[in-house]
Amino acid sequence: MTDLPLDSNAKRPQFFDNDSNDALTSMMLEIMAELWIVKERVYVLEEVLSSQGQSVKQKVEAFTPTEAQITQLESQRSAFISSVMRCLEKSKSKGAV
Amino acid sequence: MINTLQHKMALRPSQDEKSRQEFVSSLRGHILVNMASSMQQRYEEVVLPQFDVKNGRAPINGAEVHKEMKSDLYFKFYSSVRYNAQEMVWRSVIPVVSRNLQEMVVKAAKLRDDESSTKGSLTLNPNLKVPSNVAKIDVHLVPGSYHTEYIENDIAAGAIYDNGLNIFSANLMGRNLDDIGESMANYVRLKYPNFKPEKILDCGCTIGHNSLPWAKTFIDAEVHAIDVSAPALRYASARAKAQKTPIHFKQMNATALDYEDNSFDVVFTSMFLHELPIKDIKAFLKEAYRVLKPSGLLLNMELPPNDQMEPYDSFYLDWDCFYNNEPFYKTFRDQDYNQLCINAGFDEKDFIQLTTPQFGYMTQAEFSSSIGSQSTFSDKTGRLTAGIEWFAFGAWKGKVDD
Repeated sequence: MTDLPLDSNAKRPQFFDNDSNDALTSMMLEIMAELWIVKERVYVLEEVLSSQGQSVKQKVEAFTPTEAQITQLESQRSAFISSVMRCLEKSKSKGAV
Repeated sequence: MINTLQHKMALRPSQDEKSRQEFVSSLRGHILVNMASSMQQRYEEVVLPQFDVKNGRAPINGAEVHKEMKSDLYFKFYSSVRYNAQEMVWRSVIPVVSRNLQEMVVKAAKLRDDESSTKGSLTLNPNLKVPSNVAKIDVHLVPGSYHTEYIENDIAAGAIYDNGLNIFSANLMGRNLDDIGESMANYVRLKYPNFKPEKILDCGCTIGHNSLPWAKTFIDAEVHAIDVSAPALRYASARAKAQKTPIHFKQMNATALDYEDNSFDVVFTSMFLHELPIKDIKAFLKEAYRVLKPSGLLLNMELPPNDQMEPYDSFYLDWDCFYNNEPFYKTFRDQDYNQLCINAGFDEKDFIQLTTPQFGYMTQAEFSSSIGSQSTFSDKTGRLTAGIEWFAFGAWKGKVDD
């Protein structure tokens, strides 16, 4: 794994009169991306399981995560939040809001 | 669906990564088709009449349109979403490259060293100073620009560009992002049947995606391709080998070509000049004239000039200059292209400019039938959308005949 930078050295432009709207647009688009990824994954998952003759809806409702799974989900959730809120992370992005 | 790149260096993203890339590509498609169309409608119905009331006339150029559009809410949303989508293109690719980089470096070196697959070469120049228009500007908002090296024998910049461009272009640039090169090489082949280039040079080639079609179209020709970026060229050389296409890649600055006078039949560039400061464009064109053989052809696939476009179309294309970290873009498009060639030594009467449809998206007969018509510009010229027309200009170094 080689950590390559994710931010360019450009100063992010302000398009809206109120710069909050620029930040909110970034967040909204990141949320859209994340949401689409999840929607597609759920679709794929259900299709895969269905092709194996398994109905998963009841099992999903009854599911209780283990401690390890909880830790894993928490980690993924933090990464998700960082991604959506990336334009507010000044330390990482020179052109942050 | 994004087409998968058809060569051995192509990345294989995970399900979630692929899903993100598909989203970004679809988002760009939405911006460039739906939002662009709505923005133009907004201009015609609201902004243009407002301008007319204030000034008693329509805007005379793209700059006036831009100034007026800046305060329009739709332009603000269009620009904000498009700027973010550009960042998201690279952000959807870089983590995949990060994860696979070590393995890709080994794979690329193996492909480059495979003497049995095809001829072709890579010559790097560790002493070359990367010019500031690449070194100081993250062009196209690519983090690290096109030249940064992170590990030994790095190819990251090339891999990021190849896979990012594939998402960026939303299947409009060909299966291996080679439609510009294919369209230009085949234009030359069909338009000038007596012209048989033996030696061809592509300047500012990055990953060589538009160099390869020249070798495939003129199979007896020796094709050279240069760029200032070592990681892009390492990747380009492996990519060419993976496609069994012989190209000689060299790390070189196009403003100071290390080639003999009168040594090439064709000097080609694609989407290159608009990234250069004007002094470098002038220096390159002089070098192109010098290395071309008598009756050789300079051909620059580029963005069309502002003075031949409608003000709105001019404004639309110049967006990238202001918001995509391409600061020299508009200055280039404001030039008289013929005059640039004349200043470099070419004769005014030997100037050419042309538009072509996309070679890879139609039959050869359909493409051939378009060759005869002289260039006229439309709102599809140089604009990345369905039905795009590529634009090019250049000059013969003392053309003898067609």
